[in-house]
Amino acid sequence: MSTTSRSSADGGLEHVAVLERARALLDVGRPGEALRLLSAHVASVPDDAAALCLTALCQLRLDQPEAAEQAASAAARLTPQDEWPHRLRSCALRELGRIREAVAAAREAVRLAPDAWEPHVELATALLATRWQKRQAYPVAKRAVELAPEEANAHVALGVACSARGRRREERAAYLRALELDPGHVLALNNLAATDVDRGRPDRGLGLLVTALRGNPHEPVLRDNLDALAVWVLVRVLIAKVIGGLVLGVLLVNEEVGAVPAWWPRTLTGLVVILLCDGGTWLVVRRLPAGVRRHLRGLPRRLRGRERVLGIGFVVMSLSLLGMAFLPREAAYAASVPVILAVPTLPFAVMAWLIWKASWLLRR
Amino acid sequence: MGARHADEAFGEDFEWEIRSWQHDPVDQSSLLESLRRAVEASPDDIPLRCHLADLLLSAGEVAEAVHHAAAALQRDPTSADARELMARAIGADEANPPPRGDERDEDGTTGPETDGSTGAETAETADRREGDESNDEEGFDWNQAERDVADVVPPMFVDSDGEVADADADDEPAYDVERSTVRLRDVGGMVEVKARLEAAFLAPMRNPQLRKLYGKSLRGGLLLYGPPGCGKTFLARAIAGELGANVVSISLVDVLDMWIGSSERNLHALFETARRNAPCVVVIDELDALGRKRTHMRVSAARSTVNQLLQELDGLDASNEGVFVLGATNQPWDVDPALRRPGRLDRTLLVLPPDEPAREAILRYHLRDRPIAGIDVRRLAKQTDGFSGADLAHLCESAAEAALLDSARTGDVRMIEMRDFENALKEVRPSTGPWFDSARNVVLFANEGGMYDDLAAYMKKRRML
Repeated sequence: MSTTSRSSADGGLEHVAVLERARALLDVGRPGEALRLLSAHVASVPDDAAALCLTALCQLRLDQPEAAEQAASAAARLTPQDEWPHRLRSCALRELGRIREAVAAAREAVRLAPDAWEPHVELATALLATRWQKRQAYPVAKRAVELAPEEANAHVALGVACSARGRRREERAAYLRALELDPGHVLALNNLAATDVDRGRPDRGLGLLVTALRGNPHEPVLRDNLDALAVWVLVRVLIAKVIGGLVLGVLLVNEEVGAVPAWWPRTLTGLVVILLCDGGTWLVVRRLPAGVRRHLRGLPRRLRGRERVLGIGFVVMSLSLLGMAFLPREAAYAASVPVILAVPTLPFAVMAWLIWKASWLLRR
Repeated sequence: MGARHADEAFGEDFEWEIRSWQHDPVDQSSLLESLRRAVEASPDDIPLRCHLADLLLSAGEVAEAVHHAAAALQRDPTSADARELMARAIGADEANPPPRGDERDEDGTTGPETDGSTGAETAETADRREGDESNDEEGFDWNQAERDVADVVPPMFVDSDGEVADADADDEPAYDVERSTVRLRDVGGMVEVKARLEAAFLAPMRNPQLRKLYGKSLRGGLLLYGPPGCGKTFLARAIAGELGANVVSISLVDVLDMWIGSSERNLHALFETARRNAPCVVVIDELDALGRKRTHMRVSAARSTVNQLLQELDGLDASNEGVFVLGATNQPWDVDPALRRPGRLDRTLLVLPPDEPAREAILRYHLRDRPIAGIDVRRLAKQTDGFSGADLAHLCESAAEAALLDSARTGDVRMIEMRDFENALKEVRPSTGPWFDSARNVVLFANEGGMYDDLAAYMKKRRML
């Protein structure tokens, strides 16, 4: 009897040791090692729900959502009254793109633990991943914040939910609160940068992205958003160049033939346009850290599809502007062809932007 | 002989002479001397080498006999005489360890003089020395001696009741303290790294007068970082060897404990061991795990371990004089910034993939005991730019495997040839690529204070940025 109880006590101790070690390994960023440890344990004790949950967590960190879903489902079958396996399952299903199932699993987690903030955040995230239920995320995220006002992740979830509802001010406040709690929170920094860009403050957005990248240089979302911001700036400079080209075209048409000083208003205007567009961009870029500048230098290689067309358009328009400003009259006419082609597209571009903005507002 | 990691093998030079451990009678020594000269004059004469090895073995000069047997086998792997001699030499080596050589300078600060032995042999001799020391200890009964002088000399330790305490129980180190026999000269290539280490770290540490003059304390830390498999751990041991210090090695698994507070206690015990054995080098492998950024941690137990590590590095409870900490990591960007503050691991050293001479040395090392024919090591070294030490070991392994499979298939045993390497080179690629991809982001976005300037320069030179 005593031998049995001692062996069961030893087994329990060993069990705790494995789980604690796995947790610590996960915490120090070693999910692979934690998974190896847990796999051996789960092979000998297959009905250990906690070990299965930790296994699922490791697999999620290792970007193995399918295996994570299986482990979490097995854990949920063993302990159906525990919220953790359902939450992990929702997370894995979300990664797999099975959003409806993910929402169902997250709802089950919330039902089992109505006073815990984590299931609420997971449910809000799952709802935000749906096409038509995004608006439902707001009350859920709000509840998460009520349950854990000191948890940055809850505030970030609320911020995203606010964005889906078009509550811009509340969204911004949620991100700022998250950053108060965790100044290095990547998602909060990234989303706050996005709100700044939306508000027409790309400089502040850029600053936030650079700060976020300094703390998390490996985060692909931040790098992608840096590129997106560069394209955003590129489009605006391009529009400014088309308008500048239009002005130069008017000056070119009205230029007197044979009059010696007739070229100077065109050249002077061209110089001002180039200084404003390219000089302004150069000044902004110069203020960026060297590494970010180097990263942006590789932007042309990373542009794809529509963005690449924009990039080519930008280069052509820059050359056209130079030609229109500084070439003799006849050659300047030839150089103005891209501007002539681009000008009729301007009203269409403006109309397309208005339609897109209206649909965006309607969706919210 | 303890198992050696593939990357530890790195850069051992094979052309060095062997240091003899024992003086022989004059008549035999003159014969041996003339034979040595003859072998030097015609190094490819296998029978002559075997004869010399045989005589050396009889004279008890096992290390040199092993060297000559190995050299003979390298030239003719099929030589039965050489194989037999090697088997005898190894057997003799294990059975009769040679007498101990004095390996410390007068001030005790420098390590063993390893001129005249390859790195692998260095390790062998070290093992032998250790064995020797234990023999010495066995030969003299310390306990009996203690009992004999008990009434003259008071006991070293007593407990609260005045009874003689069990000193062994307290003194028993919680961690193994070793003495590193590896020296920087055992590390192939890496000329720049060695020069930087010598100038910035080792020279001031080794020179007590200068240190005293400039008020430099005998404590400090160095963080070695670089791609995996490039010999950081080996280099750390070589630095410890250069300092002539004891070595205590730890990694996360040595410290990690399930009980809250135990990991901290383990860490404290380790540093206490190091302080007791000063001068001592504490080698912390995979520092990114043990000293991970606390902002990335959720479990408070792991945070406490980092706090404890900081406390130990500062030496708040005890003096760290004579305790050096060498951290090795693949991911310095995950190391808590507090660990890199002045007085802690305040110096960093980038350990890059081996350069061409180092690659040549590594390839030679991994091929030394294999049957090879017509291998152009220099060409291979040229073709393996960007390969880590571990990649090169894998390359040799793959080539050997191909030759082995071919031999098994045809039934005709053949040597490892250049074509095996050419085929292996099509499959084995440098494993350092993903590391440089990660490092690129860090260099671009997080090179605050110029910590990664060396890495940036290297990557720029290689058009990786």
